[in-house]
Amino acid sequence: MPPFLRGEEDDNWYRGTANAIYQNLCFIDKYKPRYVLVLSGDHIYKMDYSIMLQFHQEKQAELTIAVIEVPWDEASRFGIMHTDRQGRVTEFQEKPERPQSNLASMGIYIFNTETLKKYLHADNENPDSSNDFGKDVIPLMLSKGGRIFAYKFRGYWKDVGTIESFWEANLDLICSRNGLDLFDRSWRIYTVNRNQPPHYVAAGAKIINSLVNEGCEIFGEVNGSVLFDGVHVGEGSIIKDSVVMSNVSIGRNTRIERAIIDENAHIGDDCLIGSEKKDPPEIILVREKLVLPENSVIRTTSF
Amino acid sequence: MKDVLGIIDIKAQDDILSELTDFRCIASVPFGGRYRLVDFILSSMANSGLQRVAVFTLYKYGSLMDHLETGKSWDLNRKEDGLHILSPNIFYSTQPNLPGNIKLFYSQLDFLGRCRQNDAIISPGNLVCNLNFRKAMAFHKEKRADITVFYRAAMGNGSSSPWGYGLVKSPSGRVLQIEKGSKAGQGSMPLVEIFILSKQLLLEMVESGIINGAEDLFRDIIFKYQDEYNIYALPIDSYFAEINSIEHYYQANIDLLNPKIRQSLFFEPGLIYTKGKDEPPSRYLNGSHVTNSLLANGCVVEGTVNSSILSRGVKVEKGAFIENSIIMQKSHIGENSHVEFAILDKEVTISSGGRIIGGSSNPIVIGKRKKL
Repeated sequence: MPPFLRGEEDDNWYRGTANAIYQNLCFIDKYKPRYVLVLSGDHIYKMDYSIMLQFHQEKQAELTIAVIEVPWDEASRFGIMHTDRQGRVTEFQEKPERPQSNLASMGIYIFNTETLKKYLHADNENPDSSNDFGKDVIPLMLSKGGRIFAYKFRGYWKDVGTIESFWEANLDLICSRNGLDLFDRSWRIYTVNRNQPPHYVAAGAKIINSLVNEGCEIFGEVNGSVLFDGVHVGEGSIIKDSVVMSNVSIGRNTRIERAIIDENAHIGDDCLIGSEKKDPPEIILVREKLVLPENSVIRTTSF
Repeated sequence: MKDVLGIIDIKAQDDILSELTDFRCIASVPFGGRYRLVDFILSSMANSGLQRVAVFTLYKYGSLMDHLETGKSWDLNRKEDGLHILSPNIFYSTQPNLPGNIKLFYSQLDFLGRCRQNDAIISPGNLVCNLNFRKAMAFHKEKRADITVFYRAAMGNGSSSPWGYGLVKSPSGRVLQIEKGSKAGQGSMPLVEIFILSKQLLLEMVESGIINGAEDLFRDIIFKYQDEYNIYALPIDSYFAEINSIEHYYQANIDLLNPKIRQSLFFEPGLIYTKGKDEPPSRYLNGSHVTNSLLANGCVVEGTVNSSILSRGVKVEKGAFIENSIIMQKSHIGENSHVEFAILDKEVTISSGGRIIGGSSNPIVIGKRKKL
């Protein structure tokens, strides 16, 4: 539901997460669902929403928010929920400085449709609102005494809103014990099929602790990395702790460490990409279609 | 090319690939880590712009239907034309011999008559190739040929045609003679089992063949009455393999380890399509050691793999050793086992410490779902 298809006014691009749904309420009305499930497109996790819906029904909630326990020292980065014994939300703090709970909102909501409509209209009436679920709609609903419950999720969950978390989430996939099992046949992750042949590993290649997709041709060394489809790694090159996207070609004797190489980039021979900063890691991003000539050196993100 | 009907004639070649064809017809035998044999000719037809392809099956076509689905992987799930899987409209179980393709085509006369296409390309389902038929159709029209046939200019696989027919042609491409078996040789080019002819001629041949007791369209009509037709021939100079035996099957798989063959077979002139499986990328664990091998998605490798082809979802445990082998979907190679010169069908389990060793000229074949 792209925003540019709607209305004649100039300012009808989606303002906040709640406004995006407010602008499409007529779509929801067309189908008259009893519940509306609101999700984000940039989170990595596996969840059976039907179990959450069951919880929502059992609690006779108006809104159920999925929450996950986060480490206390990271709690101030999230929207934090306080709940009573029944799991009903009593307080909500967006990125609190001194969190009193470590239950973080995952940005996954089940609303009763009528509740959603009521509060979206109310939120839209408020000229000072930023029209965001976390910042505006949920606090408004709490202040009016709405029945909000927290549904505890256990398992892998990652918000990939930054370059670092995107890089981490990719590398997390390599490890089999993180709870996000890509190899579980009963819960597949569906995607496009690029019609590439199986990937080829040459006689001198070395691959450990990595994920490699179809269509790759590996002549060098790949260690702790994730390779998308159609990546070529030349002889003598080393790819370490990196994410390499579709159809990237990497020449010979090039070293890439802690980097993200975007689609269709061409990295020449004898290049060096990687920052020395490891804690926290500085991730170098090579843009889509970028052509790096031989002997290029990139050691930092700040030019 | 809308006006050309593709016909894939899946012959009765029962035990041709021993245990690999126990449960499936030759066209749906897995090949190259993620394909079925039929994918190559079907993708060639789709890439050439054919919009209607009929697959004539005889038996054991369950897995073929499962693989082809509605034809969507080849963009053949169309309202007009599209993919047709035709099962035989004949009771052949009471007959001493399996029917030849003339009976099969005859049993689908209604379908063939109904097709709006005026020309047909007929091919078997066991070819490993990547062809563009546009040029061939133009050649066929330009020469006003009754039949256009193909021969192999460059040898992809083996030195003699496994099919056993050869042809002698004039410089303009006119076929002077088609020869059989041992006579093929001296100056004759190995013939390939693909023909272009008009639908009208095909229907005539089928109808007269039925009356005269002919079984096989090529052997009993085209070859036998070759002097009565205006036959032209075109070379195939890209990689080409006909899979008629375990040895050919094994060799054609191993051929894929050659980068030039891989490039030409999988990318030129078009891509080879197959049914998608949504497998994750393959995972290499610490201690994995893989060289000169092809791996499809969904594999988990902790052991050693040399000069082999692993299909989707194969698991190679710690200490396992695989060399010169073809391992099909979801097979499980246990810890410290040893697999050499072997072809493992789908879902085979080799238990810890197991040893499967075939000969370099006769690889050992392990049937589907066997546990060893």
